[in-house]
Amino acid sequence: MSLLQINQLSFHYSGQSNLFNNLSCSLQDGEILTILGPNGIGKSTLLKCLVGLLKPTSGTVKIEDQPLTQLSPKQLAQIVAYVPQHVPDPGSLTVSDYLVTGRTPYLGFAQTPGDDDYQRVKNTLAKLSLSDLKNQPVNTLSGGQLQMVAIAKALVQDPKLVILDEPTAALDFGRQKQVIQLIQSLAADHFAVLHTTHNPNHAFMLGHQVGLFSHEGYFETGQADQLLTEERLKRTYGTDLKLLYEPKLGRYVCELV
Amino acid sequence: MLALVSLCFGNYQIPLSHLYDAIIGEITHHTLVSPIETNIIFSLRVPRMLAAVGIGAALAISGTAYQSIFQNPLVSPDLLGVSNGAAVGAALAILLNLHSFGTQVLALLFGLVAVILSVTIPRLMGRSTNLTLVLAGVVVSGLMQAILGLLKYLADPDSQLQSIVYWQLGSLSKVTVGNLISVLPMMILGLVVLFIMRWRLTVLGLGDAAAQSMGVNVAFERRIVVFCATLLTAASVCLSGPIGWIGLVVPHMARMLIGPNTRYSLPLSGLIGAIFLLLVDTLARTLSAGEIPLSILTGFIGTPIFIYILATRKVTLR
Repeated sequence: MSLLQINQLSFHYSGQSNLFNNLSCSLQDGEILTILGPNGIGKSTLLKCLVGLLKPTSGTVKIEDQPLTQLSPKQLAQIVAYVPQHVPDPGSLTVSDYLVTGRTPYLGFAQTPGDDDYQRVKNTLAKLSLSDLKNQPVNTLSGGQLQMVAIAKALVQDPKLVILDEPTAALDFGRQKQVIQLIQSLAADHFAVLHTTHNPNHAFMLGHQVGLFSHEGYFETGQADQLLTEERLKRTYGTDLKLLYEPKLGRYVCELV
Repeated sequence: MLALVSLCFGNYQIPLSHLYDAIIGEITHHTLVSPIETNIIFSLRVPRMLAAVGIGAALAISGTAYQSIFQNPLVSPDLLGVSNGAAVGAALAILLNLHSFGTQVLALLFGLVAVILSVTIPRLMGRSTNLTLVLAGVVVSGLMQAILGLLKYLADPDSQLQSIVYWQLGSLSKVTVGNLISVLPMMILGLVVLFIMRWRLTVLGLGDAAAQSMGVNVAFERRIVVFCATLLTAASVCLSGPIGWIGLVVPHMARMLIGPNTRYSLPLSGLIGAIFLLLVDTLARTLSAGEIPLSILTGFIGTPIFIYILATRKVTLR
């Protein structure tokens, strides 16, 4: 049974041509899928199709072998957690109150979060070394802290699949590494992680599956070090670049030329 | 306590000791104070006090709900045109000589029409921002006022016009046990549902996409909240006429005091709204020999408070 199975998925916004065509791939527990591709190619749109925020033009998405369209928002949210590229401003809610909203899929209409839910928030914050931020208003956090807190909220949701849209976009080097390490540790904890990034090095660092969008509308998947050849990356980004094998790191490094 | 003390004030002042005696007398079926005082307390002031508490809470909770659901700190039952919409419904009921139930149905119906128009206009413009929603609310309010003007023009000047005009200024002086009971089901339904949803409002306030990805059936829950908030406004308008400012200012006061989590700010908003209108109504019947319409007082008190909130940049939703 696949946790996520995407079959022949196509999407276009009304009045426009197809953004992507017949896209297929799958993901299991403990796997990472890094999605690469140029700006505006449909990476974020694909992610929105996977969490039911957009309806694909054709094709199917199955979560644990069930068509996405047959899952209620609540059932879906118990399996899949989604962190958008631009985390909506939760204002001056405290980090703890913000994170506990991640428990919504487990709470009935008339229920409010209880001690168990707050305990889960506390544990997640501790796990991500964010306990100091517990009572801080979210709108006082730095960009990096906000991104980590948004990922923490996704984990409080207790999902099997975590979908992150450009989680490293606004982050400095140090924070980028922190997020990449977090993704690695999530996979080690048997979460499936699907994320988008603009940096091919992230795919080499993570070393799992890669999905590559190209300008020609193709979407190819494969292992990072096999799929990401110099030629493919040049074609994808339309620029000159070099792939260098770095023995000390034990992986390829992508450099712009 | 405050509610009990408020029973003493009005054109006819009643000493606290008489109030105590009246209550004990009522419980023990003994006549301890004059029948006039007993009558004033139990037939006039108790229903009026209950109405003030209920309407104050209803308008403040309705404002909190609208502000959360539209993620807009500047909306309120007045600014969305709901109060004026409900007023049109109720005035139409006066014109058609409808009874209490018909008045409530029409007030609710026109309140819903107003809120639906206010939400639809920015969508038709293709720009749903905080500002366009407020502007649409102003437009819809204007439309409802025009319809109200037309209804007044059509009303019988000897009987109907007078009651529409007086009632439109907002007053609790005509509240009776009968009409209090008649709006009670609407009031209780709205209050209970929104109280139950007090935490969901925080989740819905994070935005449609965020709420949906956390498993909320956004379209459905949004409709419930808008319906209940409109129900509360319509019930209040039926009982007292439109009373401005409470639905806008009180939610901000609650957030300033306790923070943006609606789990706590919604009940607090209700409490502050109840106390606020109780005080305003007590002032309305004691400041002068006649009755000062409530909207005049809430305007004079609400404006400086809102200016203070704006000036200190405390206008935040969350």
